[in-house]
Amino acid sequence: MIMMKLILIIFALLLVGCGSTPYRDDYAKHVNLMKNSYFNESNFKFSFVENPHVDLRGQYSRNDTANASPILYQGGAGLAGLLVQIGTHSTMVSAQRNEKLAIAQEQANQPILPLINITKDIALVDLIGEHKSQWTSLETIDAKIVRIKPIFFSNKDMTELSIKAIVWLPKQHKNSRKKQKFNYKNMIHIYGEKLNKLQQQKLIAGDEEFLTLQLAALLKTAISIAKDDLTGRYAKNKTRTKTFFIDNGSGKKVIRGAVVAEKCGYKVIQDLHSWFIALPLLKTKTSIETDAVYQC
Amino acid sequence: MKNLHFKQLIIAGLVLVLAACGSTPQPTVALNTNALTNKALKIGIVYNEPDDKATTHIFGAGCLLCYGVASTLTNKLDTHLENTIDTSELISLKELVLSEYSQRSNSVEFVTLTTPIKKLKKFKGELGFAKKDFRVLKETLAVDVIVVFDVYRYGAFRSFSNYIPNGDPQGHIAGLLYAIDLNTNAYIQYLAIDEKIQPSGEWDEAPAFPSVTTSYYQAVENAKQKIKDAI
Repeated sequence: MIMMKLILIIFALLLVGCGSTPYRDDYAKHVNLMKNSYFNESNFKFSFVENPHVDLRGQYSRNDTANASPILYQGGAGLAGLLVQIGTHSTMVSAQRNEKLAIAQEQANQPILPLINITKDIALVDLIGEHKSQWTSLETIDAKIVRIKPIFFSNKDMTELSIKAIVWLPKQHKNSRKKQKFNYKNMIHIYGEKLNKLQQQKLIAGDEEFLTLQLAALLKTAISIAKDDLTGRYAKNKTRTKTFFIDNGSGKKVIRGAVVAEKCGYKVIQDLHSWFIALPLLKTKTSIETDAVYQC
Repeated sequence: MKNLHFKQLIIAGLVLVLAACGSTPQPTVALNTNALTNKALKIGIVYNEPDDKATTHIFGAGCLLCYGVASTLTNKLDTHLENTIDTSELISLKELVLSEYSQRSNSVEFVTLTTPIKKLKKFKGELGFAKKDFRVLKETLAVDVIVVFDVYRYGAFRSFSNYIPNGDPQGHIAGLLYAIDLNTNAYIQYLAIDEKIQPSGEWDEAPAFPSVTTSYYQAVENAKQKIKDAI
């Protein structure tokens, strides 16, 4: 019995690692250790890291479930041999899952290649308008500067643009014994208003000026939300968790969360991940009483 | 010779058993609106809630030890689902069935069966007919049509290949919605609900598991949409 429990524990430990979700860069686990050290309006500074240019990708399904791969483990090699076989099987399944995601992303990029080609040389700093005074170049970056990594998305029909911005603040004391590398980390996801036929035609025709305006509006709203959270504006939100919907073309996408603000034509919801999801006010199907912050 | 007859008997027995096991499953029956043209028809709705609390439903762990390992892997998620996912969304699904059928009849109400469905007599009919004889309920419940909404799994679903998870746990709800004409025991509607929703991004974020929790609510909304479309 004890032996059986031991085997179960070893297997479980082995498989916890093996069965984890493949790494995705458009994802952030929420961390907020700011406590009383929130920024004020004047000392909020940010910088774009990793890629100073627009990163535009096609929207794709995140289902990475691999097909079942029945396998007959050989018992002749003993327990150690069995573990090696399970490890190999696990690596195979993991590789299948990663490959499925990579193929899905590649396929999703194909229909929007003209947009990707237009945007790949656009500098992010040229999109931030009034926020330029808060922007700092990479050369002068320090631990007190907020890092932002924006990733833009378009659906294959080029009618819906969105942005996911990963926002983080590294820990100032690198010699900290704790594993946590961040003082703050979160994701802001903004769904743009659905484009009408005329606007869609502009994108298909490669209207760079129009596309730049759309991307700029999304990025500026993301920076504004990041600033609001990092200055403590959303820290005391107490609205009730509800289900919100967004029509994503193939049905209603569910968002569970609480409204923290309504600003710039968006309803800002803090979801179960603590991410900020901004939905165009016209798109939000559920409306609730809120003590949200109304401003732009 | 005697031995040969005995073998033939065993083979015939096995064939009969396997023929029964391999019977064709009931396919979807789109709502027969012709059967509900009379708004005065009385419709009774039976709701069967799941026996267990919300949990992770494991498939593909093909041996006892595999299942033990799979259960250990989903242990924390099970605890979270049990503690945070209540039956309120299932009740809203049940209410949705009532409101949708209310558009088809002026007399729709929830009814309680005095005899469980599995204890009803068998009914020998072809595909398109219920396997239990519901006709007896016409008198006992004083209804013309019985609608059964049976939710048997909710929470999460995870697929395994023996010891190895094939993918992330997915938000999940499964059930069956069917309606029977109590004059003929024929299905007026037969709809299997089996929603599995991939969490967006990382799933393994204990203790709150926000991705899997959100995908459960997505599965429920998809099920609602399916019911609305079907009725």
